[in-house]
Amino acid sequence: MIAFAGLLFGVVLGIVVHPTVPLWLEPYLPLAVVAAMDAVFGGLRATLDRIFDEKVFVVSFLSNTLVAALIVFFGDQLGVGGQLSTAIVVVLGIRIFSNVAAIRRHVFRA
Amino acid sequence: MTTAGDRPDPWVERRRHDRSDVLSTSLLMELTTITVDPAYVEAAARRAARGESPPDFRTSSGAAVMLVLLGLLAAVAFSHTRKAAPATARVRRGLVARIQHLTKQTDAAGTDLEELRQQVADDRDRALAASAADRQLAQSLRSLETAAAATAVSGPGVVLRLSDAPPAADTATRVQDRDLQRAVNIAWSAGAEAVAVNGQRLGPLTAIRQAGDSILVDYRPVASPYVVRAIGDQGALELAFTVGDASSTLRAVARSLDFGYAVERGNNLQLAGTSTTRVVVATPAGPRSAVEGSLAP
Repeated sequence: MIAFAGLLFGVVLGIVVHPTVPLWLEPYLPLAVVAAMDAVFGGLRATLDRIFDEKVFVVSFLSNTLVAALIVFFGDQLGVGGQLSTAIVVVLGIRIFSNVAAIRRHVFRA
Repeated sequence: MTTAGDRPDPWVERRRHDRSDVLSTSLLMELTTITVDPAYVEAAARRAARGESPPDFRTSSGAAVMLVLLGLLAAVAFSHTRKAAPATARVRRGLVARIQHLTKQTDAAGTDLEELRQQVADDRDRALAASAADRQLAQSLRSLETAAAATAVSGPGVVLRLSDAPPAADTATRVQDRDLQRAVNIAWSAGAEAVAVNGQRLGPLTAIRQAGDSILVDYRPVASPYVVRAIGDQGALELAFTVGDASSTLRAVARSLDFGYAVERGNNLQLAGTSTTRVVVATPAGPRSAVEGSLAP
């Protein structure tokens, strides 16, 4: 439960402290969130499969967010930022969906 | 594979390596079927080899730290998106208000200009009423002004109403600048003496052109339905718009693209003067005295 407490704490921290994000970083935030969500659902799924690993989770979380932001950054430089964001959202969206479906199968046996 | 010896058939070999058709779908297949990260599987296998039990996501401190990060990221992204939306709308509202304000100012200035022009014309007529030669001069001035579309005119003529195809049609079936240009040119070729499109009088220097989705006449946007009013010989104009050769292309376009196309006579058309009468480059070739004043108000 400590993990979910951490999530809640992070949200509250973000709302209360309200850190100012530099303007150039702003476009990459939403995609970083989506990528991080993908990693979190992957981790949850792995827990239910009894193969969770802390190191793998931390590395996948950080690399996911970084790579998503980097791809969008390079896309912006090349003038295809919008299309690449769409591609990332589609791919990660599918993965989140199938991971949640797997979690659902685990939890409800259906 | 039917060849003698153990040399493989090159064609079969190539087929075996050429898996591009398989790859293109396998990417999507992989995306939807292999959802659990292979790294987890490998790590679990390594741990099993060491005989350890897997840690729980819910009690893992590393996961907790990452989730704090996720919560932070999500909250910040959320609040930024929320803040940015009204800001964008506000900027847009401000721009719209400025456009409307400036349009109103331009219209007011145009009305002022019209009034002042009238005043000047009246004063000039009064000044040029003394002798017969002066009256002659005033007369020629007035006809020159009419030809240059500088003054408001009225008279019998023909009205052409051209409108976009009914909605549910895409941009391709909307009236375009060249359709309007064609309509105006038909009017001129049929001997029209004054032409206006949606109230914008066409002078010698007036342009009809497309700017994005809208048509500009004299640099002012006009919208469907387009009303081309032409003062001139009613019979000739009507003939030109309805059956004449000059309008055959325009009529064909209107018919095939479902444009509205209606011609009617108007017995007392009132056309305003155009606002762009300033000639900058050209100078009159004849004696300058008579012409100059009317062209440079």
